[in-house]
Amino acid sequence: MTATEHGAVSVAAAPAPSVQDVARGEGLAPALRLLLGGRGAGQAPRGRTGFALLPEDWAADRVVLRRYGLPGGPVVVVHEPPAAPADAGGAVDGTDLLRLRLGVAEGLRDACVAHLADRPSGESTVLMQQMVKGQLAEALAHQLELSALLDSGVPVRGPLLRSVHGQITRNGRALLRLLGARGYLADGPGAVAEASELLADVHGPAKEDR
Amino acid sequence: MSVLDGRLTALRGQAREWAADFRAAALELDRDPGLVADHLDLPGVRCLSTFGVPPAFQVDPPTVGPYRFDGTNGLERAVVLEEFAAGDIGMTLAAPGPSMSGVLVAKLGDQEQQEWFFGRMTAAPTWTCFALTEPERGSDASALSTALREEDGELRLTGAKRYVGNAARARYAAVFARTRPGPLGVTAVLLDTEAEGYHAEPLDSLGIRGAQIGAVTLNGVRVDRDRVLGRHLSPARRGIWASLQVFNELRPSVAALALGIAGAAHAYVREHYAGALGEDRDRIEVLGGRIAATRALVHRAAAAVDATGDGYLASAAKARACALAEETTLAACDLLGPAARLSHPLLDKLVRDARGVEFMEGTRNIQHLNLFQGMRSGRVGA
Ligand SMILES: Cc1cc2nc3c(=O)[nH]c(=O)nc-3n(C[C@H](O)[C@H](O)[C@H](O)COP(=O)(O)OP(=O)(O)OC[C@H]3O[C@@H](n4cnc5c(N)ncnc54)[C@H](O)[C@@H]3O)c2cc1C
Repeated sequence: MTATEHGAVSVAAAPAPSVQDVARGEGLAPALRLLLGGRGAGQAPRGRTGFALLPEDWAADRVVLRRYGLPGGPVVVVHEPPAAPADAGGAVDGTDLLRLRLGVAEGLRDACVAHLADRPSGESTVLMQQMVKGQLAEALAHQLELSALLDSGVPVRGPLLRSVHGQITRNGRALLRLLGARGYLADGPGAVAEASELLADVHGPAKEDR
Repeated sequence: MSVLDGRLTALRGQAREWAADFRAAALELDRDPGLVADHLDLPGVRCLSTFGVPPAFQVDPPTVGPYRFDGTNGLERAVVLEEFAAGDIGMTLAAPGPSMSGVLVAKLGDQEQQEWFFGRMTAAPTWTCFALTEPERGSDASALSTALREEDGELRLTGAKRYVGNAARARYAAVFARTRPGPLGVTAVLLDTEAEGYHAEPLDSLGIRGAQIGAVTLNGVRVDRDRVLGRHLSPARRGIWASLQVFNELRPSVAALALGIAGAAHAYVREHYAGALGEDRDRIEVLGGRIAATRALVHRAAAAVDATGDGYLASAAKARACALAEETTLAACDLLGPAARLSHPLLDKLVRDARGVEFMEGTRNIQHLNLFQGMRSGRVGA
C-alpha cells in the first residue's frame, strides 16, 4: 500500500480497483476500459479472427454487428477487415480477461441473490429453497476456487486457459438458470453474461495454442 | 430399439423436409419476429396451424403418404417437433395454431368449447397463447393471483401474466386464473384478445426470439361464461390437477424441442468441421451417441404419457434434453475454435436458443423434484 504525505497527516491511498471488482460492481464497459486502458480507442485489440467486443464509444466509425445496452454503458461487437493484422493493438492479457469474466460471474451471483430473495415461493422465497441454496453455494465455491487460481500465480495458458473460460461460462450458466426467465431478457443480467461469453469466444486461444 | 413404426418414420422424414424451410428463414425471423407473417405458406407452418386439432374437428386431415396424422398423440408430437426445432425453434413456436392451448382445450373443453376453439383453428391460421406464468410467480404456478371474479353479474379477469409466447400476436388466449384461494380455486378460461382490457406487449429476449414472449395485463376483461374451460367438470378436475395433466402431455414435446437444438448443433459441427481427427472426432461421436440416447428417452417418455398419463419419465427426458442442448451447443463452439459464435451466426443462434428451452414447462429443478417424487412413489425407476 502507498502512503501520501498531506502536511502532518499520512493518508493511505485507496488501492486501484481491480478489473474483477469493476466488472462485478460497475459493469462490463468500465471493466473493458480498465482492461484495455492505456491503449485508447483506436488501439483496442481484436481477436485473431478480427472480431472485438468494445465499449460503444470506442467503436468509432466501425460497423457495429451487435449492441448490448448494459449497466455501466453499452458494448458492441465489431469486425475489422482481415487485411489488418489481427493483433494490431496487442493481444488482451489472458489472465486479466479471466478476472474480468470472473467479476461478471460474481455480479451475476449478486443479481441472483437479490432477485430470488424477492421472489415468493410457498410460505418463503425462492432463495430459501434448499436446492437453490445448494446451487448458489456450489456456484460460489467454484468462483472462490477460480479466484484462488488467478491469485496463485500459476500460469494460465493453453489448455488451462481454455478450460477456465469454459468453467466461467458454465458457472454463469448455472446462475442464469437460477435467474429464471428474467435472465433471458435482453435488458437483464443475462445480457451481461452473454457479452462475457462472447469475449471468451473472440479472445479464446486457437487450437494450435492449446 | 426405436419405438417408431413406419408411420412415425414417414412423418419424421416429412417434417425434416419441411424444416429445411424453417432453417432458411431462421436468422431473419430471429432479427424480426414479426416476419412470421410472411411465412404462413410454408408447408411446415401450415401443418402447425392445425397440429393438435382432434380428428373429429379436422376439416381436411393432413396426410403423409398413406398415413393420417393430427398431432394429438404425444409420440407423434415429439417426433415432429424435434425435426421442426432442428430446422428452427423460433419458427416452430412463432407459427399460428392451437399449440399448448390446444392440449388444454382437448383435455378440459366440453363439446361446444372444442367446436368453438378448434373450429377457429381450422377456419384460418390463427395465433393462440397459453398464459400461466405471472411476474411474481413462475415455478410456483399454483400460487397464481390473477383473479376471475363475478362483478355485476359478469365474469371479469384481472391480473398480469409474463413471458407468454405469442402473447402480442395471439387472437385467442388460454388464461389461468383463480376464483378463490387454494388449489381447487384455479381454473382456465378462453379469451378473445380483442376484448377490452387485454393488453400484451413483446419482451425482447436473448434467444427463441421467434416466439416473441410477452407481458400481458388483464384489466377487468369480460369473460363469457361459456368460455370457462371444463365448466362440465368438478372443480377438482378442472383446476391444478387438470393443468398438471396438460403439463405431463406437453413435457415430452418441450424435451423434443431441446433435442432438436442439440441435433442441429451436432449436425452443424459435423458439417463445418468435417476433418476433425483424434480427440475432436471422438468428442463429436460421443455427442452423437448422447443425442441418440436422449432421443430414445424422450420417445419412451412420450409413449409413457400416451399410455398412462404419467409424466415422471418425461421430467427426466426434459431435464436431460435441456442440459444436452446447452452442452452440445457450447461444445460445438469449442470445437470450431475462436470466434465460432461470431463467425457462424446459425450456431450462435442455437447457443442462444438452447438456454431458453430450460424455462418452458418447468425448470430443471422442478423436473428433478417431480422425478424424485416419481422415484419415491415407485412410479419410475422401480
Ligand atoms: C422462451 C420462453 C417461453 C415461455 N413461454 C411461456 C408461455 O407460453 N406461457 C407461460 O405462461 N409461461 C411461459 N414462459 C415462462 C416460464 O414458464 C417460466 O419462466 C418458468 O415457469 C420459470 O419461472 P420463473 O422464470 O419465474 O423462474 P422462478 O420460478 O423465479 O425460478 C427461478 C429459479 O429458481 C428455481 N426454483 C424456483 N422454485 C423452486 C423450488 N421450489 N425448488 C427448487 N428450485 C426452485 C427454478 O428452478 C429456477 O432455476 C416462457 C419462458 C421462456 C423463457
